[in-house]
Amino acid sequence: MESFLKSVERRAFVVARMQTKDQEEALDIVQDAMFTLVQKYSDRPLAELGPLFHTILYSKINDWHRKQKVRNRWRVFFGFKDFDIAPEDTVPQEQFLEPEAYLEEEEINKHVLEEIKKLPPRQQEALVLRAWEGFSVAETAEIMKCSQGSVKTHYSRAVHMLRNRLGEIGKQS
Amino acid sequence: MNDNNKLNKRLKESLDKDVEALSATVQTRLTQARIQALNEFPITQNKYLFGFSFNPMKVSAVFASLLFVVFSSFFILDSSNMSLDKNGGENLTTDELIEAHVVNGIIGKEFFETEEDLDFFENLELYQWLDTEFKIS
Repeated sequence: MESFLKSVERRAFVVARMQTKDQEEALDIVQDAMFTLVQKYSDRPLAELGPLFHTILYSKINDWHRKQKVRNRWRVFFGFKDFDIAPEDTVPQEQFLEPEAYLEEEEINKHVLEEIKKLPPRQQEALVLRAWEGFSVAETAEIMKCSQGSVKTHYSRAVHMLRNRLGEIGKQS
Repeated sequence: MNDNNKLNKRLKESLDKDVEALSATVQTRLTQARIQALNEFPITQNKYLFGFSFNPMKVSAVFASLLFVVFSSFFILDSSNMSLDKNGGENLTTDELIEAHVVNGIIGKEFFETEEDLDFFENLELYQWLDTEFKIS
């Protein structure tokens, strides 16, 4: 169990941080997911732990999104301004659109990550699980708790959107 | 390599680089979280003994089943002994003894209901023939 958690914790954190855009929230989510896995599924064989852990992780992330929605509704209701998000974060970062910025590998990676973060949560989930974690459509559907058709739709939309936004970068291997 | 594969490769590279670039602080906190998660539930870590999981519900169910089997077998043995020995066993007539055996299921009723001659059952050649024919032994 320890070696399994060690192998997935950093990737899980990156996924959670992309979804929440908050390091502390991401750490909490990953810790919660690890707790739940150890508590409930430590008797499962190693082969099952991967899909189980991702199911728990995305369930925690979805719970976080739901709570955020409710919190934001209350903020709007009481007329509070959302000071958590800096205005410059909501505006597309124009400097990444300059061709010179793409020269550096690091900049390209940053740009790709920024574009992934901009995807809707479900598309992001389908993309990360399929393209990065290497899960099959069936496994992804089980983790996301939706049909295989929905997975295919989310994934193809995500790829299509990224291809449009990244342009030539996405074609560089 | 088609565009889709190139895009996937690019995504993987970017995400892998993001993982590699995690700060030492974050990595330390993740390690702490992992250790905490593993230490928080020592029972689940040590719950295996000889390959069995010791869930309280499962243990109770197994214990109850064992008790049931022990008591029921004791009761059956006791009642069969009682009915056979109620007259001291040796005082029973042959017919009473046979009846007691039938009642207790030691001998099937059909044994006595058959019209076949008892010699037929004692015919050893028949059993040898059955043995060779159906390879019972």
